This record gives sequence, structure tokens and C-alpha cells, in this order.
Amino acid sequence: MDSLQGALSALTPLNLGMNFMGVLVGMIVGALPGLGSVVAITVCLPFTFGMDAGTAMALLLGVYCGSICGGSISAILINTPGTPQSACTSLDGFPMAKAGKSAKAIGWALSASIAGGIFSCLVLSIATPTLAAFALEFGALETFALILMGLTCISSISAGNQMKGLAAGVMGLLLACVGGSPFSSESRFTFGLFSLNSGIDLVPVIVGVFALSEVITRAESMLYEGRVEATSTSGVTLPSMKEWSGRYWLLLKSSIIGTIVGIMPGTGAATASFLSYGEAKRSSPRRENFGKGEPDSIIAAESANNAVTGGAMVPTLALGIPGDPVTAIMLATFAIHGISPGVRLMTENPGIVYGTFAALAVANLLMYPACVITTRLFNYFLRLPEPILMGFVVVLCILGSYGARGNMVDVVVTMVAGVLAYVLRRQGFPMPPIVIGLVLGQQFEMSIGQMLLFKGTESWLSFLLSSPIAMVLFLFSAGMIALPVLSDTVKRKKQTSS
Amino acid sequence: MIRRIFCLALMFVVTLCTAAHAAYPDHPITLIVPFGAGGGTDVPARLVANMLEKKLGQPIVVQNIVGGSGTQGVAQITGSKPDGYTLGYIPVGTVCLQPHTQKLPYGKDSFTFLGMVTRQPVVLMSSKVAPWKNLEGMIEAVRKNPNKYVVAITGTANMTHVPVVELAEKFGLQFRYIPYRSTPEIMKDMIAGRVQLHADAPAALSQFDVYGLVQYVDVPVANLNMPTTKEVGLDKPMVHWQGIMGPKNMPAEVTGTLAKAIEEVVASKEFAEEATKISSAAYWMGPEAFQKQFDQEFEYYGGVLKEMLSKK
Repeated sequence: MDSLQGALSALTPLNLGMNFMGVLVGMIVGALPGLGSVVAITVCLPFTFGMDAGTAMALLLGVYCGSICGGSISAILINTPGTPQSACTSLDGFPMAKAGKSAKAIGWALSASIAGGIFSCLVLSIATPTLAAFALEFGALETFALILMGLTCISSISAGNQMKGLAAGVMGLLLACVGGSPFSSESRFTFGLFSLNSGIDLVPVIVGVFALSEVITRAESMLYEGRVEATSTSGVTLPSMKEWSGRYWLLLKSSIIGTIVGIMPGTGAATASFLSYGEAKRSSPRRENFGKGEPDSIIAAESANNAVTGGAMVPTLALGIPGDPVTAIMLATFAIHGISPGVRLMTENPGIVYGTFAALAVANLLMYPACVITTRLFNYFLRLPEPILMGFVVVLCILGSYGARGNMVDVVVTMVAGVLAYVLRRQGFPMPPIVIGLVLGQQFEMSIGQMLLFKGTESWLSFLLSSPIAMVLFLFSAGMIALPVLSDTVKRKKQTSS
Repeated sequence: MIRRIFCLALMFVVTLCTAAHAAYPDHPITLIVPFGAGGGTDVPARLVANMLEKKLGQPIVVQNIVGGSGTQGVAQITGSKPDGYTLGYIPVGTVCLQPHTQKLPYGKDSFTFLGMVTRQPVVLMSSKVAPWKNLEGMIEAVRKNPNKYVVAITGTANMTHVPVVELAEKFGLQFRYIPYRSTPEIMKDMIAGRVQLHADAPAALSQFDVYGLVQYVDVPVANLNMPTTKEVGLDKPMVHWQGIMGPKNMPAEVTGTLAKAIEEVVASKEFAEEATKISSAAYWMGPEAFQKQFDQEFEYYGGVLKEMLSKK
């Protein structure tokens, strides 16, 4: 009874209104390059002090969903992803926009986001306790195996240009090594600079690699060709059922990837979108068109990154363990309102838990009107003369990279990453592997070290045999590396024999 | 024309003078928090900032400067102008422990002390699925199986590591210390039973499904139902405190205004209640006493760490 009442509380006018406000604010902040979910939530946090817990959660969940989806608007329209998790969306979204189909691209991104979000919400409300138990199965060894599988997707992403793709991936891994070692207090690759001790953050690199290098590319074409492809203003056109046919399986698969990644504490929406994009590029029947404006790639990235929201709520609500920085802020909000988060939350406060489920579902539906409004607002921005628009983007890039951690060195990192990425792009290096290497690198190092410490003096065989999950994941990774090579050899044999 | 310019210049000078003589504070104050938004340092800091700005009549902007286990943020505080407009909300580890193990741009003499805000003992927490029910049981089990049980730490030689090492030293215990990136990840592995022990502020006890084995104090703290280190014969009290500090050489009238306002907030019943809600404990200590305690602890941890690192 409590749970039903709780769920219905998400539908009171006040909570609905706050939820919508949250989605709108989140989407606008998310659409601004460099300002991500954490910034959006921190901005709204002080307002929640005066609200009751249900209303506060409705607002924060709205911001959470809105900010993840909002990043894709700028990714599609001006090729500068607003948030790390929408970096993949720009890969095919922008080519679509250039072909004059920006409204359709936003429609794909929006509908995939809503579908992914609702899917994870359903999973959340049905299977939270079971999934929380599953999340607990993931120790250092299993995490290591999972990340290893994630890294293999670099190989499928860089299909056609294996060497450059792998080189870019290694570059990302090396960037992840900068800063203090987690296992001793030694500093690595810091050139004696104290500010580099804390390592290279993801946000400045993403902003530099995707947004700033795009600005440089455009400045160049303005300079030498005297013109740029006009960025068309846009609306939102949802894809029809007919266009969806043949893509449902991809949508479901990407939503599952997003939900699972969300459940693992310490990962995030950026990881999910890259993994799902890599998987789609490996298996989609339309993979030849990736990078030229193929909706499959947008579907994969957007449904996965929004499915993370529901997944991340699983350990947050069931165990009191936040899955990412945003859910950590939500738990703090619970605490401020006198609700102690943790394992007892679901039994002691079913009302608030089911209210949260419902608010998350509602937030996903509210993304549609919020997206229409944000796109309209964004049109004003797009009507600015190109040089001024790009100037704004640069200012936002610098602001966003500084704002993430408040460290001046991050601004320098953004600049250097922007120029380097511009050069690398001209040389035909793909950019996603760099980001994947950096996103997964720090966790990869941590899990290798932890795994070795946990193994201790135990033999490798018994250590590995103790974890069936890890064995399955290792087999998958091996398969993902071996399959392309095998199929190539088989093809070649057939050709020579025939 | 010349007269007009002169008048303008005069007006400008007058404005400047009044600005210089206006009572502190006359514009917003930045409070740097060296850890991320929503964490155990950030939430109490925002609570204090919220109440403090009403007392001071100027907005207080909380800025999270994250990285290097809090040292990046603290370095930013000590490097700022000592005019009272950049302050820091600082936890013990970043200023009493880290300077002994790393080369940092700040040290013992880099601060102006304004007031302590919270204070709680370190608590050694145990997983509920570990094969013991209390401290004696734990000591016995670990002695029987050296190097079997796992202690999770968030960094080498910090406040999650040193207290356990001291206990292990006293009772001749051998643990495996495994570093983690964050408390939530540790708690996941404690609930799953991969990690058995973790030392931290008692806040985690009310948030996660773990229980306390021992508290590092001489006099037991109310509502912490476990033995003290003094009772078990380990004379090494260790407390987590958080306080407001500024860079060194702040003017006396500024520190006076700030200390008075902070005292009014921290010593209030309202703050105490809010602090309890977020599993923290309000504790007021004025600038002189705070400085004295800092000096003592700085030396104390210096000695402890020197001994600990020399044995490695």
C-alpha cells in the first residue's frame, strides 16, 4: 500500500512540476559543452533543502535524466558533445545534421533515450533486490574481466584502421597513468608539477578532443575556404514505426548494456555509451554506414547512456552504495532529509523508494517536451554568426573543464588535447579509442592491482576457477578478438580455393 | 573639462577609500572544499556555509576542488590571498598526515586557524559476514590466519590506513591492505565479504550494513556502542576533525569576525541537530585551542608515520 502511495506521489502537481523543471534545467545545462550532470545537480542542490524528500528526488532525478539526454543536442547540432556520455552521439548525429536531417537525428536520440530510460526503470522496479545481489558478485577479478572486454571494443570501433585505432587506445591508457599511483604515493609523468598529481580528468579531455578540435577545424575551413557548412536550425522529428523496424533488437541490447554498466559501482554513462557503440559497430547489419549518419549508432549510444540512470539506482537504493557521483549526491540528499540510505531503505521507506522509481519513469517521459523546448532555445544560439557561436563554444569549453574539478591544469589539458586531437584527426586517427582508453584505464589499473593483492599466494588456477563470471567474461573477450581475425582468414581461404 | 576629470577622479578615490574601510565582509566569500560534492566533507561544509552566510550577511560560495586525496584543494587555499575571502573546510588527514608522506606546496605553518566544526573518533568497521563478532574474536582469528584477512584503504598512510596499522602493531596482526578509489566501492566489497575491515569516521556505520569493532578514543562517545582503544590497551586516540582555516597571515580583525560567527553557528542547537542528521557531530573549538591541537597532532602523526614507514 505504502509503495503504491509512494509511486502516486510522483504524480502530484508539485512533484510533476519540479520533475519537469529538473528535466528542463538538466537538458539546458547538459546541452552546454563541458557542463555535465554533476554541475547541473550541484546547481539544483541548494533548492532541495527546503523541499520534502519526494519533491527533492523528483527534481534531482529530472536533472539527472535531462542532463544525460541534453548533451546529445549540441553533439548533433554543432558536433560538440555537451557531456562525456554524448561523445558517441556526435559521431553519426553530426553527419546526419550536415545532411539536413538534424531534426530526425534529434528524434532518434530522444526516442532512444526515452526507450533506454524506461527500460532500465522497468528493470529497476521489478528486479532491484536480485540485481543488487548480482552487483555484489563483482569483485576485483570480475571488474578486471569486464574492463578487458570493454577494451576489446576498441578493436571493433577502429575497424578498417586497426593500427591507428589501437595506437589511439594506447594513448588513452597512457593518459590514464598520469598522476599519483594508487598503490604507492609515487607520482608518474607529472614533470614535477604538483597540479598534475591528481591525474588527467575525463571532462577536459573529452571537451578538448571533441569540442575544441571541432572549433579549430571550423576556424580552418572559414580561413581557407571562406565558408563553413551552415548549421541548420532544427526541431524534433520522431522516427516512424517503419523506420524503427529492424532496430528493436539493437535498442534492447543497448538498453541492457546500459543498465548493467549502471549497476556496477564506479562506472558511468560514458563507459556505457562507448561499450554499446562498440558492440553496435561490431554487429549491426548497417555497420558499413557508421560515421556517415547511421541512426543505429545514435540508438546504441543514447539508449545505453540513459539506461544507466535506472541501473545506477539499483545499488543506490538497495545497498546504499552510489553507482556514480550523481547518485552519491542523491544519497546525501536522502540523509539531509533524515532518511538514512542503506540496506534498510527499501524495507523501512518503501514509499520513498517507489516514489523514486515512478519519478524516474516520469522524468523519462517529460524529456520529450523538454527536448522540444531546449531545441527551440538552441536555435537562437545557432542563428548567431558562426565566429561568435564558436567563440561561445570555446568559452564554455574552458569554463566546463575548469568547473569539473576547479583545477587550472585542466584548462591547459583541454587546450593541449584540442590541438593534439585536431592534428591526429587530420592524420586519420579515430578519437573514440583515446577516450575509451582514458575512461577505462584508471579503473583497469586499479582492478589489476587489487586482483593481484586479492590473489596473494593462491595459485592462478584455483583463483580463476573460483569465479565463473570472470571466466565467462574472459571467454567473451577472447572471442571478440579472435572472431574478426578468424572470419577474415576463412574469407581469404574461400577466395583462394574458389 | 579638467574640473570634470578632477571631480571624477576624486569620486573614484573616495569610493576606493570607502571600499577599503568597509567592514569585512563586503563581498561574497569562497569556501573551498577539497573533496567532491555530496561526500563526507562536502555535506557538512555546505551546512555550515548555509548558516554562516546568514550570520555574516554575505553569500558563501562552496567550491569543490578535487584531486590528490584533498591536497589539490588545500594547496589552493594556502596559495590564496589572506584577505578572508578564500577559506577552506579542511579535514585532518590532508593537513596532519599527507605533509609527512608527500612533497606538498604547504606544511605546518601555512594556515590561519578559525575554528573546528566537527569531531568524531576513527572507528574500525567490520563486515557482518566476517568470521567474528567482536574485537577479541577478530584478533584471535587474524592471529591464526596471518595475511588472510583484507583491510580496505583509500590511500597509503592516510586516516584509513594508519589506525589499522597501529592496532596490528600492538596485537601482532598481519593483514593484507588493498587500496580502493572510494568508500562506496569498499562498502560493496565489505557487504559481499571480500573485504573484512575498514577504518573511517562513524558516519558510514549508519549508512551501510557494517558494524563497529573499536573506537579510537579515551572516553567513549555517546551513541557509539563499542569498546574504546584505551580499554583494549592501545594508547593511540585518533579523531577525524573538520575545521575552517584560511591561508597564513590573515588580518586580526577578519579572523576575529569569522571566529565569532563560526562559533555562533557551530555551538548552536540547530547546527548540532542538523549535523546529527548527516551522521556527523558538531564540535566547537576556538582558534587558539584549534591551533594547539593541530600542532600536537601534526607532530604525533609525524612520529607515527615515520615509525610506520621505516619498518616497511
